[in-house]
Amino acid sequence: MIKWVDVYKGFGDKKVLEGFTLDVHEGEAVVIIGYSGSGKSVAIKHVVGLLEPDRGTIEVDDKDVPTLPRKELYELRAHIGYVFQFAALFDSMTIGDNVAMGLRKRPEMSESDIQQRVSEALELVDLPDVQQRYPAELSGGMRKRVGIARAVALRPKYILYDEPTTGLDPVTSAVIDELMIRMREKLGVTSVVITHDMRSAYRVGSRIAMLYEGRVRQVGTVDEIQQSKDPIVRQFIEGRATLEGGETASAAATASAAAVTPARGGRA
Amino acid sequence: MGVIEATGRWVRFRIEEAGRAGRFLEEAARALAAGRTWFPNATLQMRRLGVDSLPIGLLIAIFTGIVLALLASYSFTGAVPLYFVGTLVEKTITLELAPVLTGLALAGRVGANIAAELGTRRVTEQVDALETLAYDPDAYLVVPRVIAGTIMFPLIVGLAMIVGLGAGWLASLGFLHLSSEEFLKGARLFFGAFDIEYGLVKSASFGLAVTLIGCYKGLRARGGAEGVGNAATGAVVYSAVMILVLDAFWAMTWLHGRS
Amino acid sequence: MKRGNDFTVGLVVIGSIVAIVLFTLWLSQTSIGSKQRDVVARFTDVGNAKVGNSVVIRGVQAGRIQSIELEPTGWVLVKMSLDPDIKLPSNPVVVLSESSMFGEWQATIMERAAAPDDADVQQQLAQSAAVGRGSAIPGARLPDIAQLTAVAGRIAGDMSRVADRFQVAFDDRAANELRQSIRNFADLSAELERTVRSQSASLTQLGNDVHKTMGTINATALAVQHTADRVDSSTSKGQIRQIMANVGEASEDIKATSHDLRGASHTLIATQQQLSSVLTHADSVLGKIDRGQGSLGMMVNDPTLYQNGDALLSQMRELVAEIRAHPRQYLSVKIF
Ligand SMILES: Nc1ncnc2c1ncn2[C@@H]1O[C@H](COP(=O)(O)OP(=O)(O)O)[C@@H](O)[C@H]1O
Ligand SMILES: [Mg+2]
Repeated sequence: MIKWVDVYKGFGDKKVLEGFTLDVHEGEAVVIIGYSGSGKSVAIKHVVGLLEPDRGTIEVDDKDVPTLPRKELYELRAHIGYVFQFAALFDSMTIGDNVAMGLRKRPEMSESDIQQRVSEALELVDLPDVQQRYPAELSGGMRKRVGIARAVALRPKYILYDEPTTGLDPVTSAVIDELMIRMREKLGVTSVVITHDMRSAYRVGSRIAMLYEGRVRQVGTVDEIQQSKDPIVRQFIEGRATLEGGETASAAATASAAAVTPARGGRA
Repeated sequence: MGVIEATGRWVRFRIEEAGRAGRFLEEAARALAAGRTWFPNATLQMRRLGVDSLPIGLLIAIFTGIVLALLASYSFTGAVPLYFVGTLVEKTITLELAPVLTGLALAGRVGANIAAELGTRRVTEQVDALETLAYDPDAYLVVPRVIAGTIMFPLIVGLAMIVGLGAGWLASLGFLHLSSEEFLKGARLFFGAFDIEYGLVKSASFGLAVTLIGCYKGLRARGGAEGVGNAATGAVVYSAVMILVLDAFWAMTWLHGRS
Repeated sequence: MKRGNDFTVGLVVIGSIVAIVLFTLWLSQTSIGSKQRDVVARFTDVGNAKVGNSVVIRGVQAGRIQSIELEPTGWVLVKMSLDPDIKLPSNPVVVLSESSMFGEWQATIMERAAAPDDADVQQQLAQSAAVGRGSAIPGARLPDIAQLTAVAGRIAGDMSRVADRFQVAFDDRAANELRQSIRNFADLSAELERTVRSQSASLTQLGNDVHKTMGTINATALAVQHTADRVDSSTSKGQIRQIMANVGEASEDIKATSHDLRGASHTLIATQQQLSSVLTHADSVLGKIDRGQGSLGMMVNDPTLYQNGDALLSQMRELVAEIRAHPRQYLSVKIF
């Protein structure tokens, strides 16, 4: 169980999360949607303690993440797989070593066990023959899949996917969606998926939450979201430039403008 | 008004920076305990930062030795017996030039290398990825580099001392027509093991400073390629200044008052 | 790949440590493995000798001074480490002396009989040997007389210039130069006196003699000044004759002295005393010349006096040349 409780987070003068509250139950796959730069990545980074909230807290399995002692935090992290938006592979290591990295922290695993797990994980993402290659030799889509394999190889209890299908071709996207669904249904993994791809969201999610202006605008099952009356939600899921009824979307336009500011460029 | 606010903000930034640097040092020291994490990486860093820096360190030493010998004979102009060339080369190489010149060259090579590499890892979220895989970046990235620098700097400088004195010796034979016996007589005249010890301890402190600054700047890099570039520049500048400050520090606390 | 790294790093680390240690030992001339042999010598005073100075046997470097300690009894014990296969003389003594103008000293181990025939050195050795229980070798230090030689050299230069003048012509210009030389000469003799005085602390025996000599020098100088004053005021013939007689005497003195000096090999004391007396006489002679036209005219007109003076100076020149040519015979010091 992952719980965000009234989380506030800002960088300097810029406020990103302002009272973000959301629960993710065991076995669920919660999809978080929202404009670029609205703070989706920031929200899930709090789950593994990469960021600390200014106010509020995050609980994982009833443990209070921001106040967790270092040792327990590392134990917790061993049960959470994190798929980074841009893969974040270690470029000085082969793909095989990248995937094995988290496993090598586990003293109980022998080198042959590790090799087995690595091959398994890479096969799951449909990349069986890249173990000896380096990240720079792979395409962006392949790297992303290696990133997923690296998280899956840990056999974690939770997996946090940060835009796992963005930038992939439709077929590969479908393969990834299948993988995420299988992880949940076969292995009982609880997942949080960030995506802009509504098709993928409807396929993968058991519930969908929309992050807007620092808090959850609406959360509900796929059906509830599809039938939402909220103009902001409707505009987002239908991918229109204006709000319903033709009026100019002042609020949405502001949010989009904010999204234009480069997510990782310059000092915030 | 504006000035006062600006000053206030500047002071606040400085204090925050000092606090962050202090916390960084504390974390790095704590990470020393995690030997199992950093040890396998230490030899890799010792080769990359140390062994691979040998050619530049020794090249500098060769030229320094030659120049010192010629400089000494020029300055003495007959008033002082020529074998004092050996004395001057030995003293300046071991006490000052081998540690400081090598240190400055390595500040560029090692400091920039560390800052750029860790900076790139930071902005591409590789550091975050390490953390999510339950690795401590201080133990995995910082400690091996700092240990490698602290161990390898004195060794490179020690070899530079030998090579520098050798180059000064050959230059004395070739250009000054000094005999080997005379050069050695001069070199041994006021030699003490302290000369070497002082130079090596000083170099170890340079290695510690350069690698720590490189790691700190790299891990605090923000915002893409430009941020990485700034981190590398900052690391080199701060390392060079720190080397000169440490040089003066050792001279005042350790050299001064000895006879 | 990984093993390759470890190997390279290990090789470089071990190699550099070994190289640096060997380099340090080699530069400080500590020989590893072979055991050094320690020799201890006892001194009343070690001058400027320092730890690390060379130990020399028959002019060959044989080791270094290891430590210098002041004992509660007042003796200074100098420990020297020597190469193990070096044989000491059967009845060894250690003499400390300057080995260069830069204040470096060295310890020379030599046969007791070969020690410098200097009363002071002999006395130091005898005293040290008298304490002699235990294994300490008797030791002595040579006086630091670099200053004396320097003064002697300058006198030599001045004197030969004056002498050359005498031989060429004796005119007004010569008189002026002579006056200048005399002034320098007076300074020199004063300096020599000061030097000898400062030496007298360590050369107690010699000191008394020298003091006496210096007393004479001063008395003579006073008398000369007295006479000269009267010459200036009265130019009476009788008194000038008296002065001339004195000059003659003085030149006889110098002849005898320089003969003595060259004739036999003399000790340092003798050299110093004779040098002092030479200076005294020369000083008084030239001092007399310096006063007034009258006596100068006399001197120019009187051929015997001129010849005497000339001979005096050329002998002096020979003496000085002799001292310079064989300085060790008179003054036992190496400048470099
Ligand atoms: N470490 C950081 N320092 C400063 N600003 C940051 C940092 N991380 C994120 N931000 C800012 O927070 C905002 C939200 O970023 P992010 O969560 O990455 O958006 P997205 O919803 O597209 O994932 C962006 O404006 C970004 O510039
Ligand atoms: Mg994001």
